Amino acid sequence: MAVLNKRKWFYLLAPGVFDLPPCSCGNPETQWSEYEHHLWCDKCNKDFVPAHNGVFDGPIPVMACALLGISFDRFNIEKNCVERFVVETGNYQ
Amino acid sequence: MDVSQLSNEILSALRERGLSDQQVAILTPREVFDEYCSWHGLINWGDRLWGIVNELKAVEPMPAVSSTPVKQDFSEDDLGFLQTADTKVLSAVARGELNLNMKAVDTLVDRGMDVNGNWVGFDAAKSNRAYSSAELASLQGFDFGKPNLIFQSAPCAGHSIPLQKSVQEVPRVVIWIEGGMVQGAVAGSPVDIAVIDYDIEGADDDDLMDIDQGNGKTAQAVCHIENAEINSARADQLFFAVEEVKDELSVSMRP
Repeated sequence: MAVLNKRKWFYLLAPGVFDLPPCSCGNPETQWSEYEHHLWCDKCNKDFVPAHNGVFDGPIPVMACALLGISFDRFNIEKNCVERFVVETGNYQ
Repeated sequence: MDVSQLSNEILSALRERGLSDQQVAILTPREVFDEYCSWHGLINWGDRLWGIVNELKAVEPMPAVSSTPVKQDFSEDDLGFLQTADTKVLSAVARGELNLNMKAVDTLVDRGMDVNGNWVGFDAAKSNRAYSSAELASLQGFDFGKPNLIFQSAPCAGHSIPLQKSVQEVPRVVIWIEGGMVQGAVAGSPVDIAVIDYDIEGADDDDLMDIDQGNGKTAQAVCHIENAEINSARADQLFFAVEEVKDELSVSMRP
């Protein structure tokens, strides 16, 4: 049985922005699941593993993403704060 | 690292990253690769790609057997051990399935020697073992020297193993600091460590030294020479621990 680890952070933008696929029911308005590597479909009320990981499946052109308005800023659940992604360094502040 | 040996392609990427040539000079090839990847948008992929390249190089098939005669500097007596070798082993070498180069390196290391057959001591030789065969095969710039019969039967053109160079150029030194003071150091091979502490608050005037800053100016500092304990196993252990922390820091972007 797969181990479900509680998510410690999530991106501020919705999964669809990062090209993560919709739920099998067709709902594209998915949210980050409370579990790592999972998404949440509020129509099916279920956590599911997306068919692929969108932009995260390969090298991420972060600068091009920044130009397109795709932000990798994230919310750290443990620290209860927003962590800003610094494009130039590839690190979080 | 000799910056002058880097291509403009690499150097310009590193300079665009805001690194000076002096800063580049103290980077390892792996760090240079990571910076190069980062500049091209491959954030946090440098280590992974470097590892994959090394892994692929390690499993790279041996080149086909060359029919070009190679000058033989060894007598029949020198190569007599081949006569007693198992046919299974010889045929594996002939097919390029057994890398005798690495076996020879391992044997020399066991004897406390470098790849030129020079005695370097068991400690230094053991520190060579810290480098996996994949890392050895991935690093460039070492010349195995004259080809011999072993290399002729399993030629390694372009497949260099810089055992001696890697050890000489990339010694592993771990220094621990507490309360702003260097408490100790451990190294995989003998090194001299000069500690220059520019935090001179509270220091006796007699202990202060003027240190040339390389720009015509000097700065006062408290200095001493630190003796590193030679313990390659401990140095490797601490390095791996630091590498693990580094990996944790470069967290995966995957949600």
